[in-house]
Amino acid sequence: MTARYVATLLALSLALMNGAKATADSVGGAPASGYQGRCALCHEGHGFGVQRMRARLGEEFSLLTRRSDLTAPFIRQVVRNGFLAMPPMSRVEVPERELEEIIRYLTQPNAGAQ
Amino acid sequence: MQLPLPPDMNQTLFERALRSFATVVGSEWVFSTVTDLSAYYDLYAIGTRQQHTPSAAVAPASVEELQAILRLANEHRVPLWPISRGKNYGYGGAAPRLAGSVILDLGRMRRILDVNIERAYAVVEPGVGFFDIYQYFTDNDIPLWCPMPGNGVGSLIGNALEHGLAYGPQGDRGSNVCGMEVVLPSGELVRTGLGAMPRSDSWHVFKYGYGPGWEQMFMQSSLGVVTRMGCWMQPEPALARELHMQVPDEADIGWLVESLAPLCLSGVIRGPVNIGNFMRYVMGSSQRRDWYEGEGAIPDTVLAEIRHKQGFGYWPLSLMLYGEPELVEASTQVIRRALARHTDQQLEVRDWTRGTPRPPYPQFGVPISFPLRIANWLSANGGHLSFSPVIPAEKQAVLEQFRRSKQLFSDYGFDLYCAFTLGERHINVVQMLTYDQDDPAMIERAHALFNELVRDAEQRGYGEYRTHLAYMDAVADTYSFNDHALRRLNETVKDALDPNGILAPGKQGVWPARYRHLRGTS
Repeated sequence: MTARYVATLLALSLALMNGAKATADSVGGAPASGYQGRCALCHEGHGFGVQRMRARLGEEFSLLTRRSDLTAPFIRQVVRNGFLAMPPMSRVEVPERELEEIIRYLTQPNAGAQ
Repeated sequence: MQLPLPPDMNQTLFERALRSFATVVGSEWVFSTVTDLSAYYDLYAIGTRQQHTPSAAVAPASVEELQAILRLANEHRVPLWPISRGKNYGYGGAAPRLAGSVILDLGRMRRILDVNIERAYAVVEPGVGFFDIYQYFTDNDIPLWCPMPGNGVGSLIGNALEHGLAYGPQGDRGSNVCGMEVVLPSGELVRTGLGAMPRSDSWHVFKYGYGPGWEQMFMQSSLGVVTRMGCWMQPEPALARELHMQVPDEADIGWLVESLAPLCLSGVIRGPVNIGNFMRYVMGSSQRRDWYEGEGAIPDTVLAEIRHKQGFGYWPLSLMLYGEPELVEASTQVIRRALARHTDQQLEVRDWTRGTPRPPYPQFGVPISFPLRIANWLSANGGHLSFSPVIPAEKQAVLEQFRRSKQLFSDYGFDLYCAFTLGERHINVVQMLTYDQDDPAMIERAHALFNELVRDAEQRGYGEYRTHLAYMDAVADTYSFNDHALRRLNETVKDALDPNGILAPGKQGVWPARYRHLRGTS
């Protein structure tokens, strides 16, 4: 096997790999659901909810995932009816099934460690 | 609170229509209680929320369900108001122009249908938000950045259809739409451009297709419901550079525009350049009472103290450059040279390089929500309206617009948030009027100021590119060439495509024959 032949084979296999990659580059799917998909924009990082709660309640209450005082009825009430700066969320924006999931996530101990 | 019915319908006919919708989507996706509908009110209502209150909402999960709903709406003659995520804040949120319309909530259609990395586009459904796409790209290591608006809570499709603006080279979002699928008011499904071919993989890379192009027809429009859209993205740059300068005085906006407009036109700076006054930052991080408790607009002397304390110039300038390091550096030098003709100040540089964590700001393709705080400038139950005329990218035009707006805001007792977004040849002006929803006298003044701003701009030949529900007719009235020939054209097309007037009656001042008598009513 000559060096040139090996080089050609290598080039060909690389081209095939690139071709395969081009196909794999085209992807689609569903966005995140639950807390990460529906709440995190405002309630994580520099979010509006984090800032509002920090100003009103202090640093230790600014992140929902670090709180232990949130109850299922309270979370449901706030999501569906709104509370202060937070607007009500429709049953499309936070579907019932995902609201249940969010409530379970936020009311379990150490939610933020998950 | 009493929910309205659609005009010309009684309770029996309305309930029959809702029952028919439920046969398509299931009764759990038809909403008609006050609690469920409160999510669709205008969060920042100017006046009473009942002016733009829906009668119900229906949420299809697929194109087929949507087609069926449109056919039933024709049969029962029910007006629908489509929303993607309904976050058109400052312009009406999710609320309909015509009270009693049924919200057609497309939020369940939330698939990212395709992402093409090499050709830098994503194809999405209406419910996909900016945060969704950001998270999707991040989770899947996709080296694309979505152009992010100043507030990232909305949807890609809704924002682009309303001609929204974002950061980055593809920031003029309406111009970076390529290929739509649309359901017409009759329920018929069409695809624009090359999408009209049954097997085209060029649909989202070439806009025109063959024959007349219709995509503009579905923007700010009531002529169809967009169910998927090709959105051009920014390939992740090797380097993103932010250039800062605190430009000290009000009048400096003149030379800023004079210096930067040619650089936008020649491509040294790509994408919209947003220059806001310091009040944007002050209103986004504090409340008015933190600084001043007197009546009327905050006096200039107090504003100067605020700027001094916060370390702001009147115009905190931030310019973005993206791309290969050599090109970014060369562009930096060109910008430095252009600004050095007017100031001795040096631009500060902040670089992000590929492979490092991104600063959490929309300039770097990261969505944020905290600018919503601006609505709370005056009270916890605050709101804001955006006055958004378009002017040419010229020194005299921008100085005159700023001077007149500042005077009018002051005359009516409001603090001026003012932002100028440079395109290649024009400027989108956004002046945000904040108010306390619990103060009826202030709401009256806000109305009066807004109408005055519209009149003032009209007299100088400037029209708004977008407006709140309450002013859609007033702004449409200013587009009056040849005795409102454009309105007649719009409504001729409207009546042809939507003879029963079921889709978004009154949007952008276009009224179908059936409801035309309601033009100008609240």
